[in-house]
Amino acid sequence: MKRISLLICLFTVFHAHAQDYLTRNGNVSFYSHTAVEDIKANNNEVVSLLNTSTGSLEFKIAIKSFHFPKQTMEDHFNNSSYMDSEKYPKASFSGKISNLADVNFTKDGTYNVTAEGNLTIKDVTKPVTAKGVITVSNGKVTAQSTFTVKRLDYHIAGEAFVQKKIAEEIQITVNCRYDKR
Amino acid sequence: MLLFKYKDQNMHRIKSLIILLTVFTAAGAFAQDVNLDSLLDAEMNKKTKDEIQYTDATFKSSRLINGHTVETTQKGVLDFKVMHRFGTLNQGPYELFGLDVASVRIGGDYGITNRLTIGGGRSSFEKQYDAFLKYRLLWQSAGKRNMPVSVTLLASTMLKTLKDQTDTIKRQSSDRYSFAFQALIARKFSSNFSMQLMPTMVHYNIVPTADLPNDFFSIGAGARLKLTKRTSITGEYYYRLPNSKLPNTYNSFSLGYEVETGGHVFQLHVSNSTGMTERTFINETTGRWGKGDIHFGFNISRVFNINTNRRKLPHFNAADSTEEKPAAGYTANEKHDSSGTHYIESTFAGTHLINGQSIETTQKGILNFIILHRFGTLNSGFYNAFGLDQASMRIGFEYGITNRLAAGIGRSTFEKQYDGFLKYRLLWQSEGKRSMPLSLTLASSVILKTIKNNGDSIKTHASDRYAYSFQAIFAHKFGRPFSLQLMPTLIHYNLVPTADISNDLYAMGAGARVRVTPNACLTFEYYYLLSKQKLPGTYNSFSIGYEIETAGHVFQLHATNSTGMTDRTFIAETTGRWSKGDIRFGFNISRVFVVKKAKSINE
Repeated sequence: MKRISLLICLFTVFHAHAQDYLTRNGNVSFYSHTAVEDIKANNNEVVSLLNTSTGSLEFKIAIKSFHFPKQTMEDHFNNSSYMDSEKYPKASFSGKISNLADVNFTKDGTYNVTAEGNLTIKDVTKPVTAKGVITVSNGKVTAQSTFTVKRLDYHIAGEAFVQKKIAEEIQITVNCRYDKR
Repeated sequence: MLLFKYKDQNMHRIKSLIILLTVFTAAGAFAQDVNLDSLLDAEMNKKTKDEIQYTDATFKSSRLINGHTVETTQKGVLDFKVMHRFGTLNQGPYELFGLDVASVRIGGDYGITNRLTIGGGRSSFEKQYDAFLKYRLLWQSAGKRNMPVSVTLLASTMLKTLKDQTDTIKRQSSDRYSFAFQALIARKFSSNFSMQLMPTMVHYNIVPTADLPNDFFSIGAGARLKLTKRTSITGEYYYRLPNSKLPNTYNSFSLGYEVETGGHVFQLHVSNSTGMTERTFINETTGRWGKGDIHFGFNISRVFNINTNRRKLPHFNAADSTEEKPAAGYTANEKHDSSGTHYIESTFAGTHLINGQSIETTQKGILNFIILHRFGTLNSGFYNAFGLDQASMRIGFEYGITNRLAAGIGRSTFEKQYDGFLKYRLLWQSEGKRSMPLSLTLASSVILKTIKNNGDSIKTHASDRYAYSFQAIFAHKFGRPFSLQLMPTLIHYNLVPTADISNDLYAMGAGARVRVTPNACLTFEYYYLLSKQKLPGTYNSFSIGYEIETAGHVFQLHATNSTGMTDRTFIAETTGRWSKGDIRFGFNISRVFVVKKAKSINE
């Protein structure tokens, strides 16, 4: 009996805390458009945690997991003129869904949200606000968002002569499918 | 709860409370304690352990200096290589320390797989053809499979086609062949340092004297040491085993400096070897460092993706996957509000159109190192590889004093000319507040010919060697696809061959650039000499070019009927004719160095 009670206790406890949604294979991609060249890269090894009760939203991204259509591009991306991934292996976002009240995580549906928080790339932290969509379907939560950042804010400079090929504003697309923890 | 109904209520109460509390705290702590960092690390570690991490860029190029490195060319990639060695530094100032002599190997490497490369080339030195196969047997790796070194096997064959005038016996065609076999063993110790050992065997089908063996053994050692982010120094040495030497030859030793930029590596070096095939540099190096027989040289390579299966990225977002369609807001960069003046940039890609100057001036604070290179004529026949054995070069520098004013100097091997020029951009095509329909650049140059003419019967004055040119270059950029320029030109000679020729020659030039792909253009350049004033036996200069823009530089390939690359020589002294097949293949490469922090005119 004691055991059962313990189990019940545990269940209640966990049920009460099951507002954490986690993904280990979230997708973040970026896109740079200029007249000369379009650059795209994709990372689907993003780790993210969403707390549906507080609305807190966290992302951790390994820079080396961004993959490009061309190997040489990937090498350049990781080198010290750009992301310097040896020195700064991770990027992160830590923030909140500011209109959490508009989202009902227990009911299937699509909800427009705004996330606000701090984006850290190369140890530079800047506030970011992003509009996105949260989709709830059969207990699964999917978050999608597209926003832009100014690369020079994060000291992603590159050589002088490639400036025409890299957009000042980089479009970032997030697509994460969370599982209940 | 049920618990409370039991007899030993108090005891149970306390117990349950404790349990509850612990569970709560534990669970609570657990929930908050999702450490994403360690989660990500764990994922990454799992990945690195489960996958083989191949070491890349042990060396930056498939050639160290003269010889091969363990690197093979990526699958489906064609690596076009020009290797160039000048004469020896001890040739003195008249020959400009060897700069007038050129030994060139032009070739290509193609990656059949990531491990197997096939390649070939032609050297002007001894008119050699070579072909090789290269296979990467072992690849240094970490992670799932740990491999301490990379091993690449190389087999090459060399065919010497130069006719030996002193030969008294009839040779068989097989005598002209030799073969080389190398095992290249390399390790990348860190991102800063890589080393390589190269045990080598070279087999000659024929050797000069009977007491020499046909097989020669040697061992080479090479290294790369990184200096800065994009530059490194390299060294290469081949030690020939005793009794494995041809008479009067020395061990090959070379030192290099390499600059890596987007997509290519530019290598500069000094070496005591002239040849660039295994046979010639390992076993037939006749130069000695101690005597100053040092050759300055460079390797350039340009990579073309012939058949690369681009990794496909999954389409994850509908908005993003609509290819090529730029998202709203991105066009803002290309449209400029009318409150400011926007100067039109890149009317032409380089400061040289093909032979002549373009409207463009070098940006402020930028030093532009330019090599212009012309081969012999295509009609010189198969034996001379359609002109590839001949080289006419101009090596020059240009510096941007302001964004509108540039000064430059150069030295051509053709007639051993020196030239200096000044270029000023008087008008700059612009939009917005100040609208200007065209650009105008004034260029003036002085050309000094230093070659000694043995046929001269009269003593010439030093001033006789000078000629001048003045150009007004008008250009208009009709958007990205098309630019056009007109170049009225005056050339003044201090001395002309006969008295009935005017000292001033007038010419009208026209040039254009047509974009064929986003990064490649076709260029045209034509100079029309105003009729009566032609020098005898000269024709109008016409050139067609193909230029590729890559990060930081422009690579121009072209065909022209002119040899010289100074205004005087190609405008007024072109002796070749297209219709006779006097067509020269040539290329221009430029490398930009930022001396002072440069700003675009629009900033």
